[in-house]
Amino acid sequence: MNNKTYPYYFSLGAMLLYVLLLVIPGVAGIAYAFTDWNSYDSAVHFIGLDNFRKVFSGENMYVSFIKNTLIFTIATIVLKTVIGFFLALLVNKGVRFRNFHRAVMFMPAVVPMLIVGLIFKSVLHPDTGLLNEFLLTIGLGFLAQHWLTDLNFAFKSIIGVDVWKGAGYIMVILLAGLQSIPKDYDEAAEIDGAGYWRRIWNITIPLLMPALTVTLVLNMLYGLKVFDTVYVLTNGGPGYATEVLFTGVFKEFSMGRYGLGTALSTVLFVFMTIIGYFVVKVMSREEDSH
Amino acid sequence: MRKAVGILAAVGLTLGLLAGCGSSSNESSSKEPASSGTGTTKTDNTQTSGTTKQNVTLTYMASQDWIKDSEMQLAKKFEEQTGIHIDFQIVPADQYQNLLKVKLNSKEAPDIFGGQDGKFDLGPLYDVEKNAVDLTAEEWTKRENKLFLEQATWNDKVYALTVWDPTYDYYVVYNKQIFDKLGLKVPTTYSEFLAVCEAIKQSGVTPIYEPVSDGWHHVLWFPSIGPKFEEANPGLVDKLNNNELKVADVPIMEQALTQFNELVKKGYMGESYFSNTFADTEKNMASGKFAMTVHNLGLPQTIEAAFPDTKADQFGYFPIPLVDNQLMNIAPAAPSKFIYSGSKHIEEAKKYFQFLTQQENLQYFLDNEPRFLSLDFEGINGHFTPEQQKFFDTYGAKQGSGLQMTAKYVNPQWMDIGKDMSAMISGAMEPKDILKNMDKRREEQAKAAKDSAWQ
Amino acid sequence: MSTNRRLRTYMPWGKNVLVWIISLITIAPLILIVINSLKDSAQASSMGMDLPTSLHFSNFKTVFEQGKLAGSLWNSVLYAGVSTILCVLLASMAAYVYARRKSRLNRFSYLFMLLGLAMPLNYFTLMKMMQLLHLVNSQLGIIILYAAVQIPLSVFILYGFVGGVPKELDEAGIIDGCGPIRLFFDIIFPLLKPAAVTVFILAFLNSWNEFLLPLYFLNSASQWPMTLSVYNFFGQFQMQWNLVSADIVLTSLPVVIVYLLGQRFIIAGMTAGSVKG
Repeated sequence: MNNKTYPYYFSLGAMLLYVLLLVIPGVAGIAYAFTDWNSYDSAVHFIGLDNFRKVFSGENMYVSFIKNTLIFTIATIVLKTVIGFFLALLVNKGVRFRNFHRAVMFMPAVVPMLIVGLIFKSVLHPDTGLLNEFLLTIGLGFLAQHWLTDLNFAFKSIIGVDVWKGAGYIMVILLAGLQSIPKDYDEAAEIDGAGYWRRIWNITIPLLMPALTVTLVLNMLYGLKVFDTVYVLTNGGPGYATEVLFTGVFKEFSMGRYGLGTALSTVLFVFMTIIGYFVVKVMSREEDSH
Repeated sequence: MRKAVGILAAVGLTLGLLAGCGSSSNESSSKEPASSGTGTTKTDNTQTSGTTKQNVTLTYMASQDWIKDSEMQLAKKFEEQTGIHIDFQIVPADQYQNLLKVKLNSKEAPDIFGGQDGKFDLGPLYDVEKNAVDLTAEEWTKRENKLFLEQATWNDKVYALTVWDPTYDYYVVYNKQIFDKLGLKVPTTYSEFLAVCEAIKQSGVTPIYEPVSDGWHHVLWFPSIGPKFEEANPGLVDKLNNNELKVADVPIMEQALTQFNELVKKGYMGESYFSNTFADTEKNMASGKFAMTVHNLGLPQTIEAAFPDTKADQFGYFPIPLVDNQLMNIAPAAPSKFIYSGSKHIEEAKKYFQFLTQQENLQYFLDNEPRFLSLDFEGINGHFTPEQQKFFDTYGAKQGSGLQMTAKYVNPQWMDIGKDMSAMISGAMEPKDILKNMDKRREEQAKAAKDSAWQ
Repeated sequence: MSTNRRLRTYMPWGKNVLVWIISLITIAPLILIVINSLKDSAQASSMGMDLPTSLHFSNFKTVFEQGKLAGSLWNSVLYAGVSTILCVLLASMAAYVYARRKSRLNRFSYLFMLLGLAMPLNYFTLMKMMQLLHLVNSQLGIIILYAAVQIPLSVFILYGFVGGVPKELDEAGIIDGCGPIRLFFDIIFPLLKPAAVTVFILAFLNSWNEFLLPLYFLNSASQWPMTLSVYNFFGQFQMQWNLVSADIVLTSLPVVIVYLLGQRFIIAGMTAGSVKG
């Protein structure tokens, strides 16, 4: 019965587009990682693993880029998920002007990163920025900082801006998850006398697991691939303090070293694939046990 | 049966789309209807008699800031006269090189493409012999400034048209009112410069507005004084280009970086240099809170345009005075236009270049571009203010070009030098390290380019 | 017990205040743009929070005319709209089959498709492929490309939600005599609506903000979407933050509207209602 009810050809359209336009060009592109392809020479030569050796030799500071990328990923996963979850709970029900608030909270996701960079460079400017002026006005002037240029704050500020932009996006996914949880479960538990937080913990979160996994994987992939946020806010500065992997890739490309740039992004691809595989594995095991 | 319907729904839909659009693709923009003003055919045709109207669109791709407003207006006139429409495609600067490379590689390049010229770069960066049309025989090459023409030439052939301001390089722009009030004179040595900065700082004004956050601007302090480096070490550039000398072994370069660092450390660039942006220069210079900045000669005019209370004539100029530099740097390499060799409309594109370089059109271009003071063509009347004229009279006798134009493999690493210099002023790097990094990157690039001097 | 009742009475009130505070924090930087879009260029040059001395609604008119936004607005709606519909349709069919029947082939296909989430794009090879398929410089080509790029993410999100639709419904449908196509479109897809609408909103957002693909694969400015027109606009008016702000407002508005329209379709408790009914 399965074969007829859920026919494989349903998935062929998606698969066709995916293979033709993403897989084939992507895999063919990875082949360049093994060449000396660059913008100063029209010929491309095979050079084996030389590019990968360069990436891992440590001379180009890629190790610190990788560290920054991981810090960014973990911090944004935690912050966006927690904040996004509470936002979703908050605007799910029992609030007036629900649609208005939902739209407002989603709005940062809509604004192009370029613009976000522009806004926050202005907001976080040490002399004229909104944030420092606000802190001064309410008498907390000692908290004012050089947000984007102080070595101690630059990376935290980047994370903060990214959470501001991304939490609403996560909220939307979790909200859809909340909406598809049947009300009866919650009502039954309430009748049984379970308190609000208890119900959240025992009922909402377990039933929200599929949506939470989705956001976990999305946040993780996004975090590892992060580029725009860093690029528009600090461009990796001051010095190299906030460089991440993809700003490194971008730099290699803009220097015309396409081979090395491809090698670097290939390393990241392999890394993401491995992590992604385990996450999906764990997730599907949980699902089966339900 | 149902299965067949399903396949139609899923796969067939996709394939249908794929097949359906085959016909509409790949015929580049040429057949795009030119939405030109058709009513004015007769009246404008007097100048270009004999030309018939063509229904052609030329695609023209360039990086941000390369196409000036006045050129767009000229393009409209060109369309009225010839019916040839110019489709401008302005691309963000950081994407431009990659995009152009992809399009040239795949033979999808636009009819006209922009590119930063430079006598060392035309071959390696654009492969002009394969990708660009030889323009040597064009009449306008005879009227173009020889220094500019040289930068657009590869193996004795001209490949690009450059219409740009030869005085468009960077110097110190200073607020004369502040100088006068404090009784300061224009410095001629580095130590005088230090004294001037100190006096300004004591008066409560920040001596220098320096927008480090843009990443490229603070680099200007260093390669721009290339003429001075050359004067102190005759033959320097040739030795660098033949790989007979490393920049790390040139003491005056290290000294220049050390002095830049000193200016920052002494607080002469204020506190917020890392956050300052280039776009805010006009506002800050108009505010009177800053006395100097490194900028083009056109800055005072744009300040007055944006802040009418601040008059252009209250600003003056002098060369960047690190390592006692008194030489004027000029920039003959500039954004230029190339005609793509695979274009179907080479003749039309040439016609556009001819149109742009007509005497009255060049003059129109200059008159309507507030940031430009003159052009790299004969017989064009510049718009120098008395202050600018004074600057040329004082320093113009000894000219030279910045290191980024004379030494190979310096310009492409501009932003990296910027990062290193930021690291230096935040205390994470020494001047010598910056030079060593420069040597390393020059070597990498030279090897990638199969430069015989580095083999 | 009394604390519980008190909580119940005050909770909504506290909740409302909290929501307003969060909304204000979220929107403050965006208000900055709206305020500046109404200033004249001198006042907007500092992008400050100060209120406009006089309201310049003409900025929006200038932007619309100078930026040639009418054409690119239509292009954006066309590309993002059609590609997202195509993507949601194909992705939900695929996710449905992968999630319902976990055969080895389907499991492999699903995991294989997830690879796309991490796959690096290479514009050189993608250009070759697009040329091969005759998709370069065509509007249909860019629509198909947009859809393809969004498919892995959409399949991934939808896959998680298909599990939430009770399998009993499928069985009931089959007993009623539905074939696989009617079963999917008449019974399952309506229940997937909250997820499908979410995916629609997210894919539409991504496509709307897509920037590099049209740059590489469309060779005529008249085919460019809003994002690229904005850049063209920056190039011409980079000093005039008031116009740039007005441009941003106009560009962002459509996605907000799509979100507002979309979320009306995410109707609470659909699955529960259906089970009961």
